[in-house]
Amino acid sequence: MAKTDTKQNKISFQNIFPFLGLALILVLFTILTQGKLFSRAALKSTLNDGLYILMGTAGFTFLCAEGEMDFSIGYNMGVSCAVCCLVANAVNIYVAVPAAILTGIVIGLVNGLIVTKTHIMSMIATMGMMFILQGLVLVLLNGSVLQAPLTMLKMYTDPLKIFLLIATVVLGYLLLEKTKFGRVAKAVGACPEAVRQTGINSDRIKLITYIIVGGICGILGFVSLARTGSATNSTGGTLMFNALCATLMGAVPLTGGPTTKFRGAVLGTLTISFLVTGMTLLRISATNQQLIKGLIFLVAVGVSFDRKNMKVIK
Amino acid sequence: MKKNVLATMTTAAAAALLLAGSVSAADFTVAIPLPESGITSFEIMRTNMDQLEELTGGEFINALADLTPDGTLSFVESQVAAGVDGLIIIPPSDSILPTVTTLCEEAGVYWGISMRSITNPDIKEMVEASPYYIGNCYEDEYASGYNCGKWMGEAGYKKIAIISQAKGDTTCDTREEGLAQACEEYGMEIVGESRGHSQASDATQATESFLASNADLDAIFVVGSAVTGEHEAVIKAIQDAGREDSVSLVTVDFPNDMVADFESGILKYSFGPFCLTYDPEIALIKLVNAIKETPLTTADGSTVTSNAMKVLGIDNVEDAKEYVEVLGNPAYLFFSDDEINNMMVWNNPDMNEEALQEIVDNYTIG
Repeated sequence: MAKTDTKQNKISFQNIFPFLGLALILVLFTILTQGKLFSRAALKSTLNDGLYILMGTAGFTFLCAEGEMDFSIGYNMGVSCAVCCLVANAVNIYVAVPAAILTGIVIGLVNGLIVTKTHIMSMIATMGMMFILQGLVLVLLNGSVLQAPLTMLKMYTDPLKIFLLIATVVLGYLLLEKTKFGRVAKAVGACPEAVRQTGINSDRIKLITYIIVGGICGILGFVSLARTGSATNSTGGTLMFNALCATLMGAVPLTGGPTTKFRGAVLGTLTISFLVTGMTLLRISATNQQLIKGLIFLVAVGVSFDRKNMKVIK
Repeated sequence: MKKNVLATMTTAAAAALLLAGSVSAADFTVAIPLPESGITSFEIMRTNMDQLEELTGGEFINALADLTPDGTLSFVESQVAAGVDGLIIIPPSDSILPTVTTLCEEAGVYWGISMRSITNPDIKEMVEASPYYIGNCYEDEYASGYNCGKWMGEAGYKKIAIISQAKGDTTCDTREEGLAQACEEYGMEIVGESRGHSQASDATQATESFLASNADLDAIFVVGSAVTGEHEAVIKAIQDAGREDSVSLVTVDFPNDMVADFESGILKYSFGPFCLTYDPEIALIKLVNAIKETPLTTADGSTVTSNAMKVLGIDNVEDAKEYVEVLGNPAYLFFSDDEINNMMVWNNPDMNEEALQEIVDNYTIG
């Protein structure tokens, strides 16, 4: 009985941890920055960084629900950005957008096929893909910084950013929490064998998830190009770590299963984004920022990792 | 539960302790995307920024940023959000400049470019039309590449390998154009190239590869480096291969351990501005003038000024020692207090682009 109570407490703390973390960050930095955290410029900076993190984290959350992982999201974004830039220069900027999304989807599809057909652990498979994409982006860009047409920069507008933000939150929430797909995805994370025995093709669910994540990377590739006007071999380099950090700050269990909540992606993103903005407003050096993020990352792992249901992350 | 709460509180406390910064109370704040330590030039920069703080009442922040397009834009966005009054950037490509222009115009932040020039004419026109753009400081990159190439040609080198930044980096691209001109004039051939290094070991691998595939290689030319210890990695790889008698190192920008590098007998020639951070110092002086609403002007009255930095070549250990004796000191001040005050238009209304250029051209170290 006592053991059950402890478990309930643990689960309860996991549920409140993302809210507690966000509240702590908001209160702490609002006081320390004397309210500058909510100035227009600070919110705009938070939105710009947060958009990348939220979209990446949303994809990660779906994969985590299934107990899967994708280490190649950053370089998928980089390759999509490179393709977007090449097409924008060779054809036009309007064809470049679907080209970027299609590129992301194809890479996601390949990831999904490797994981589901060869049964290589997703961590290993996507790490391999990450190295391939690192090389591919160099080949595509011929080792150079490629500039997009200047008209591309006009596509990076506040309405576009807000639309993407809202679409990610609404679609992500509905898909994971309110549809059969979301419920099955969580079930695959909890016990794929049980799902298989009910006649549901769990590999298909995983494949679709990888395609969705790939599509997100494709959109981010376009967003990055519209923001910077350049495609480089460093594009997307920080996405994976930031998304993983936000996922953990949102207490999304890496082991998957029914305790995965989409709100974790949103809360985690808000926490990380406001943390970074707050630290910059306080002029905290880049080194100390890394140190603080590392500390928080460790605590987040400690709190969110579900040891009771621990199994090998595939 | 208690353990979890404790862990959270501990992190919060640790984070609070690490929050060394505070909201600025200075007259104005300026940020620059360079570190305050790591190599002596950066430490010299910090010393000179402290002097500027004292003399102008501003706060000068080292906000280290990746010098990539994404990193530079994040630097601009975050510093604008932090409420700075001025920014110096070192743009890796022209394509981010329209976005920087928009961000700074919206926020009323003055900004300038250090170590770079705008090469795209459309972007140049767009940027220079902004009332918040103060201009740039730059080295003649074509001349840097050409001079190093000329030195190698006159030394009789025929086969060289280059280590450079990714293509598209306007600085290195221009240096390579100068090198290409020298190669044509002196009949030299570029037999290998390696780009976009992110760590010193990348230079080791590149050098090993150059040496293995070119038995008659004459020199490795570091066209541009953004990695600390890269020159020393090249020297070590040449020594390890036992080719120190036949393969030389030539660089644009002086290595941090220049004396040791010359003493190794492998570094033969280095060409660059006398101090890496003299350029941002001049850019900051221009920026402060603009923030104080007394901007420097050109002869035709424009507030967009452009200043070329003085460059020099060193080809022997004695000159290197003499140089390091002065500029190996992190406390080195580029200018006296009086000289700085004289460069501020509110103290000296005669100060303009031409007068500043004269100061730069006539500058001597020591």
